[in-house]
Amino acid sequence: MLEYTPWLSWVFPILGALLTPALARIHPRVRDYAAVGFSGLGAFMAFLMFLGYPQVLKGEASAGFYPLSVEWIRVAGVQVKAGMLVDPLSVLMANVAAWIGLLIMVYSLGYMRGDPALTRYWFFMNLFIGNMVLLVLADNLLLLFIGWEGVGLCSYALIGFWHRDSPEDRKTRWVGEGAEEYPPSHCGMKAFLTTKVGDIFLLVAIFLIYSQAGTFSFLELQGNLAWARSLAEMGLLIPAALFLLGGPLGKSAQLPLMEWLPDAMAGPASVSALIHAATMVKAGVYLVARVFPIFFSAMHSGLPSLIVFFQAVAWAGALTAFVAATQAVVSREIKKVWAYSTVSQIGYMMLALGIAGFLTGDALVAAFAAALFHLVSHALFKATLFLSSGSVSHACESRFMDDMGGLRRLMPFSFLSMFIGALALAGVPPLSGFWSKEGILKSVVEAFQASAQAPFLYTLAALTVGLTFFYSLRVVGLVFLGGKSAHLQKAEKLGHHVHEAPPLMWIPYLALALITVAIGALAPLLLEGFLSMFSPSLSTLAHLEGGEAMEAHSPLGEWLVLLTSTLMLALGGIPAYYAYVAGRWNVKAWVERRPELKALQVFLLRRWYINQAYYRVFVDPALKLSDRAHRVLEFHGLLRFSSLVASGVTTLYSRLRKTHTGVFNDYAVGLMGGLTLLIVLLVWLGLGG
Amino acid sequence: MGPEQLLIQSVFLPLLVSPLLALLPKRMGKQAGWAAFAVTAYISALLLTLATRIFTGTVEAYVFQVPWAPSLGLTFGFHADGLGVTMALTIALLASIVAPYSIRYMDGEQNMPLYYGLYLLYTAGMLGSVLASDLIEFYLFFELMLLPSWALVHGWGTGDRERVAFRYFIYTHMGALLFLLGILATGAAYGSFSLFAIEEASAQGQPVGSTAARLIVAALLVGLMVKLAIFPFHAWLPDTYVEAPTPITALLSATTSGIGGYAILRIVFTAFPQTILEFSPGLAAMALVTMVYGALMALAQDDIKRLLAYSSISQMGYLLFGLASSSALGLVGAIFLYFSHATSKAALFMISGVLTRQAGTRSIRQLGGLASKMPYTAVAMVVGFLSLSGVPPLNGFQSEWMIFLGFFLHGVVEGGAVRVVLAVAAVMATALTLSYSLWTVRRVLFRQLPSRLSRVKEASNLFIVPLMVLTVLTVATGVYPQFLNQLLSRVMEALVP
Repeated sequence: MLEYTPWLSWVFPILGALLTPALARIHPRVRDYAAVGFSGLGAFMAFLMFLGYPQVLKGEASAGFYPLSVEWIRVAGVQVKAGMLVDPLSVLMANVAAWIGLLIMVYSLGYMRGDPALTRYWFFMNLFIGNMVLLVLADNLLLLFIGWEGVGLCSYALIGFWHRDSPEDRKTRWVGEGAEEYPPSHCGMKAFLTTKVGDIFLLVAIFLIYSQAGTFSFLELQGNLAWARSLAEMGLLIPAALFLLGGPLGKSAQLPLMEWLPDAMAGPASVSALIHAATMVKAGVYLVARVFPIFFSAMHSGLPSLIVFFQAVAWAGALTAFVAATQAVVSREIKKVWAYSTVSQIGYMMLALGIAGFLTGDALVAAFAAALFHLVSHALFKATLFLSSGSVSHACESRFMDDMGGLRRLMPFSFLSMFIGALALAGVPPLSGFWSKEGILKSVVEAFQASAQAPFLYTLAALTVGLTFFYSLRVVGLVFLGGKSAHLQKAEKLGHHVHEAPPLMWIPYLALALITVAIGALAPLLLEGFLSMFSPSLSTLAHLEGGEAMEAHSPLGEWLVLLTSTLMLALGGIPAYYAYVAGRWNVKAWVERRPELKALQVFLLRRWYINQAYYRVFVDPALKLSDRAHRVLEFHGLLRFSSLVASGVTTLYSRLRKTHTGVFNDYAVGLMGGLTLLIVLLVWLGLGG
Repeated sequence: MGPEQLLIQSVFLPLLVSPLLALLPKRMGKQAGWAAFAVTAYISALLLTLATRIFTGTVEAYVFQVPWAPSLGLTFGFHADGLGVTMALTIALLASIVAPYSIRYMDGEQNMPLYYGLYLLYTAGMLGSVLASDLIEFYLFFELMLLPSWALVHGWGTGDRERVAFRYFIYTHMGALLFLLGILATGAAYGSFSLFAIEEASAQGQPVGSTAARLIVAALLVGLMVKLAIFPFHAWLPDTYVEAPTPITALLSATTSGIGGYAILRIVFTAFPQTILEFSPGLAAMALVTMVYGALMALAQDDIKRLLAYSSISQMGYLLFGLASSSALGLVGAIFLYFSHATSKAALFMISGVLTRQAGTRSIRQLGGLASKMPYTAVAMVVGFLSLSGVPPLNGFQSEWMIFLGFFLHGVVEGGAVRVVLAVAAVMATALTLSYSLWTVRRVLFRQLPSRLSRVKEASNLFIVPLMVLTVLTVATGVYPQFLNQLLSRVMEALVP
C-alpha cells in the first residue's frame, strides 16, 4: 500500500480540483472544505513516503526507487514510461510543496471568503499542488515538463485571478506604479509568456539530449553518459546544457528572465505565498539540483568544458541576488518587496548549486545541502511574510506601505509573524535563515581555491546580506511602527477600524513563523540530517576525481564568513534601525535634497530599466512589425496580386463567359466533361508509358 | 455486416442522403440539420469501431477494392489503415459535432435543406479522399469536396461572398490542377493509379529518373500546399475563412485544409520515398516561414475570425514541419496535429460565431470581460487557445513534442547544422503562438466588461454542448494520446525507413 503514496500524493489534489465544480453544486461550504481536505490527503500521502521508503531519510536510496512505473506513451520507436522517482531530493520537495500548500489552503478559507469565483480558485490551487508534486516526483524529463507547464498554467490563472481589472481595485489588486502599473490580467499573461520563453529553451535541450540518449529518464541519463560525449563531439553539449538552464531561469525568475515575478504580485496573497514564494518558483532550483549529478559526472568523465554550466548557474544566481535586493530596498508596495526578496533569495540557492559544481569532496555535499536547506527555510519564512502581508493589506485596503503604519498593537499576531519572518530572512542568528545563508556563504569561500571567479561571487552575495537586512527592517518599520498613515486616519474617521485577521488566517502564518524559530533552534541537528540524507547519493560524485577531497569547511573560511556577514548586517541594519525603527532619520527628506540619491532611487524603482527594455525591444516591435507586415504584405500586396489575377481571369472569363451560366448543374456537367477529357488524357499517357 | 460494408457506407451513405435532404421542402431546415447530424454521427460510430479494431491489433487495415475501368487500369476502392481511419474518424466526428451547432447558428437562413445536402456532399468528399485507394479516385473526391464547399460559401457566406467564393474556387482549383498533373505523371510512371500497386512498385525503387521524379514531386507538393495554405500559397484563405458561414469555416479549417498534408503522406511519401526526403529541408524552411508569418499576421488582427484564419495558416506550417521531419515520430506528430488542431480550431471558430450571436460583434476591440458572462464559452476558448500553443496536458502539446522531437531525431543524427538551426527556430516560434493566444484571451474574456455588453448571456445548449464535447476531446487525447499514437505509429514507420 505504501508504495502507492508517491502517486497518490499528486493524484489526490488533482482529483480534488476536478471534483470542485461538482461539489460546488452541492453547497459552497462542501466545496471549500473538500478542497482543503483533498490537499490534506495529498500532504498526508507525501508524509507517508517517509514510512514507505525509510531508506530515503537514511540516505540509503542513492539510486532512487521507481514505484509502479507504467507505460504512458509508445509511438514510432519512442517509449515513455511514467514513473515516480523517490529519492531524498524528491521526497523533500514533495513534502515542502504539499504541506505548505495545505497550510495556505487553510489560510485561504479565511482570506478568500466571499469571493464570487471561489470554485475557480480552489480548482486552480489544488491543480497547482498536484502538478507541483508531480513535477518533483517525475522520473523523466517529459513527465517533469508536463508538471512544469501545469504549474505555469495555474500560475497564469491565479495571478490573473481578479481578471476584471477594475480601476476601483487599483489600490489593492493591481501592481506597480506610474508607467509600470499593471492590472492582474496583464500580469498573468506576462508571467506565462516570460516563463514560456525559458521553457522553450528547456524543451530544445530535452530534445537535443534525447536525440543522443534515446531516453528521458534521469537515472538512465546519469547511468550512461555516452550521449554527453556524442553531443560534445557535435559541439552541442554546452548549448544543450545552457538551453536547459533557460527553463530554471524563467521559472525561478532569475536574470535575465526575472521581470515577471514582481508583477505576479497582482494575484491574491495566498497565491503569492504558495506559488510565487514557497513552491513553484523553486522548481528551477529543483531542476538544477536534479540534473546536477548528471552534468557533474559528465564533467568529471572527460568533458571539463561543462564547468560553463555551473559557472552560468552561479553567476545568474549571484547577479540576481544582488540586483533584486537593490530593487527591494526602494519598493513602496509590501508584497513587491517580498517578491524582489524571493528572487534575490533564490539567487542564493542557484549560487550554491553552481558553486557546488566547482567543488569536490565534502565541500560539494555541503554546498548542495546548503542550497536545499535554504530552499526549505526560505519556503517557510517567506510564506509567513506573504500571508501576514496579505492580512495587513487586506486590513488597510492598500498595497502601499505608505498607507499603513503603526499596526503593531492593532495586529499583534501579524506583527509577531512578520517580525520573525523578516529577521529570519535577513539571516539574523539564531533563526533558520542565518544557518542556511551562512552555509551558502561558506561554500562560496571554499571555492576560492578552485575558481578565480569565486571572490567576485562572494562579494555580490555578501553585499546582498546587508541589503536584505535593510529592506526587511524597513518593511517592519513602515508597516507596524511609527504613527498611523494619513490613509488609515482617514479610514478611521469614516468608521473603518483596522483589526487583527481571524484565527483561521493568523494561525497558519504564526505556525509557519514558529516552525522557522524551531528550525533555527534545531539547525545544527537538521543540517547534519541534510548532510547525511544527501551525502550517500552525492558521495560517488564527490569522490569522482581522485584529487584532494575538500573538507566541508575550513576554519579560515568560517571566520571570514562570520566577519563579513556581521559587518554586512551592521551596515544594513544600523541605518535601517535609525531610519525606520527608531524613526530618527528622515530618509525621504534626505533623498529629496540630494539629486544623485533621487536618481538612484528612480533607477531602482524603475527596476534598472530592464522591464522597460523588454517592452521596448520585444513587445512593441513585434506588435509594430506584425501590424506593418499585415498592411504591406497582406492588405496591399495581396490586393494587388489578386487584382492581377482577377484581371487575368476576367479576360479568360469574357472568352468563356458563355459557359458560365451560374447554374450549378451546368458546372457539374462541365466537371464531368473535364473528367472525360482527363480520362482520355490518361489513356493517351498510359499508352505512351 | 462485414467491415468492408462499413467502409462503403461511410462514404456512400452521405452521398446518397445528400440529394434527399436537398429535395426536402424549404421549411424543413432544422429537420434536415438533424438528419445530417444523424448520418455523420452514425458514420463516426462506424469508423470508431473500425479504428478500435485496428487499435487493438485485430487487423492492420481494411481494404475494399473493385475494378472500375479495367481497360484503363483504374480500380475503385477504400483503404482504411491506421492513418486513413484516423483521418476519416476526425472528419466524421467534426462533421457530426458541427452539425447541431449549424442548426442553431444558421437558424433563419434561406434554403437550409439544400445547405445540409451540400454539407453531407462536402463531408462525403472529404471522407472519400482520405479513404481512396486509387489516385484518380482520390482526385475525384478531392474535387468533390471543393465544389460543395465553394457552393456553401457562395450561397450562405457573408460580405462579398460571391467574389470570395470564386477566388477560393480558382486558387484551390489551380492547385488541384497542378496536383492532377502530378498524379497523372505518377500514374504514367508506375503504369498504375492504384496506391497498392504503387506502394509495391516503389519498394523496388523509383521507376523514373531523379530529375523526372523531382519534377513530379514538385508539382504534387505545390498543388497540395495550396490546399494547406502554406506561405506564399495562402492568399485564398483569410477571406474565405472570414466570409464563409461559421460552421463551414470550422470544417474548412479543421478538416479540409489538412487533407493536403494527408495527401503528401499518402501519395508523395508512398510513390517517391527518396525524392521527398531530398525536398524535406526546403519544406521545413517553408513550414517555418508559414508558422512565423501566420502567427505574426494573427497578432495584427482585430476580427477574431480573421485572427483564427491566420492562426490556421500558422498551424498548417506546424503540420508541414512534421512532414518535413523525415522521421516516423514527426509524421505521427503531423497527423496528431491534424486531429488536435481540428478539436481546438473548430471550437475556436465556433466560439467566434457564438460571439457574433451573443455579443453582436467579432471585433476584439469591442469585446472584453466576457469570462464572467459566458463561463462555458470561456473555458472552451481558453482550452482551445492553450492547446494551439502546445500547453500540456492538452492534445496540442502531444502533437508539438512529437513534431519537434521527430525533427531533432533525424536532424541531429544526419542533418547537420542547418536542420538543427531550423528545428531550434521552429520551437522558438511557438512563443508567437502563445503570444497571440494569450493576448486574444485577455482582450476578449478578461479586463473590464464594456457597458454595452452588460446584458450578454451564455449561449444556448446547441452552442455549448458541441463546444464542451470538443473541449473534453482536447483534454482527453492530451492526457491519453495512446489511441491515436498506436493507430498511426505502424503506418508511419512503414513510410519512413
